[in-house]
Amino acid sequence: MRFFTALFLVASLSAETSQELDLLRGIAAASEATMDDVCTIVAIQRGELKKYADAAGRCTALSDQKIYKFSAEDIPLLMPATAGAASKAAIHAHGLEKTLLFALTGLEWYAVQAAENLGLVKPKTAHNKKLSGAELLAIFEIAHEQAEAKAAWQNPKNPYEVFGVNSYEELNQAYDKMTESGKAPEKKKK
Amino acid sequence: MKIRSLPLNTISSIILFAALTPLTLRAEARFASLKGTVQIYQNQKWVDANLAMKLPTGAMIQTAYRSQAVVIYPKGGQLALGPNTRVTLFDNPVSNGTDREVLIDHGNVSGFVKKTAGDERNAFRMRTPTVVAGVRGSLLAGTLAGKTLTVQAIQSAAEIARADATKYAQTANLALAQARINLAQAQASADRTNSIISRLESALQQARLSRSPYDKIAAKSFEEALKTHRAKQAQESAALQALISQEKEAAAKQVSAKNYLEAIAKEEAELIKIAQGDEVRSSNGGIQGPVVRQNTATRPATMNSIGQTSTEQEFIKKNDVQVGVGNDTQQLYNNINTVTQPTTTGSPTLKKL
Repeated sequence: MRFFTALFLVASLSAETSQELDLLRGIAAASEATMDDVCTIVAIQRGELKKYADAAGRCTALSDQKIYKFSAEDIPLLMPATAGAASKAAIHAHGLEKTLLFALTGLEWYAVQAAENLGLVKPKTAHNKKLSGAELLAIFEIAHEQAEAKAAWQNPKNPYEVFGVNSYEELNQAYDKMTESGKAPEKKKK
Repeated sequence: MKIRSLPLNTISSIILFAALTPLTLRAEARFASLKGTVQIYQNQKWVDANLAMKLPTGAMIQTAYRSQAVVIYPKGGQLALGPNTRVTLFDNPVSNGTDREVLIDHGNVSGFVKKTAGDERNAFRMRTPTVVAGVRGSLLAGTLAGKTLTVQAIQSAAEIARADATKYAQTANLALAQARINLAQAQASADRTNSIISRLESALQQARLSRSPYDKIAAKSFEEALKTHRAKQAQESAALQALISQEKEAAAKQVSAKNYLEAIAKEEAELIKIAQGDEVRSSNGGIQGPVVRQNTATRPATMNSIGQTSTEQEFIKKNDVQVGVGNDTQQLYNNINTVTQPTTTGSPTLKKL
């Protein structure tokens, strides 16, 4: 019985996570992104996709978390994602540095200026510019990367960690073991 | 005598198998480890990856957030794909050593290239539509966020250049990768349109049942949006068929392509060296060298004073003046620290004041 429960859990986890990739690919292919996509990206980046059953829930959460406020009459599925709205949501979602005027007013016009400073959008981007899915994803990817870099600023970086080892020597040894070649490279004679 | 008794088809199959075997063995990369959700584009659809899968040349792989994968080649090295990454892998046939290429769509990739013995040459390149970075026998890491590629030469010197996309767009590898990306995108777009249509239909139904005046206005918007998306759906399904045949053609051409290495040799002549431990960033504005990267990376934060205009900011950036409490002292500390304690990993040693 436990086995079947575990199997079901694994299957549901896989379905959940491939939904994440399907949603991201759908957004990347969109010629015109919507505010609904903003809600989806934020939920994915925060690892909260499975918390909310549908897109409406994700957008309500965005409002509740004060990342982007929707009014009662707003229909996120029909609202185009503008550079201003995306900048505002990305800065709030990742806790990035705000310019004074954006911090004081919260206006999208100033959000774009703050996003320019952070390198999220190109200089001189209009706040009401409608974004494509790829442009929207780029803003959130850069914001996510900056937030991660900021959080890990003082931590020592180990470039070999991604391969599951701690040093270049270990990487070489692990590779030899995996491929069973076991031969060390010969040094070239001068 | 026995051979004579075999049908002609069987003999030709054996000969064909024998001829193709070395190529198949060469291309047989596989996953060494998988974490989270990793998918591979196989037979024109995305499927979940598993450790038993073989990764032929032209394989497109995508990882989700909080996921990663390590790809191992039987000879020449391995690749680590970070979270939220999409790449296409290529393994070019060479007589001596290996020649591999990764086309990064987004995300981060680390490439370990095994040092060779004798005259063998293991080459590895990472490529975006506008940039190419390569390394031989060491470790290279690249991150593509938006249109900005950051490359770190970790274990030995590497090379980088802004490649004119049109110059190499004719190569069979890039044509196949592009055809595959186009098809995958068209499929994703069609799925998205279908899902939006079903959501709009249910929203319209609910709005029609409601008595609220807001919902009546919303119903009109839903109807208009439905019309647009249904028209889009018809266009997309027509375009999809053409893209499927284009991808098949590109795959067939890629198998028979021969002259790729000549183009690579021409490209290698234009590459700029990155010293071991250095980091270079390439974006729309051009290539930012190691000094600029070091300055920006070792600063605690870019501090923009209140009311600073973009012209003032540009002046400060160009003249390397940063204002703010503690910034100058931190910069001085970082500079001394970097000079006195060079690290093998290339990342400068940082300490908070």
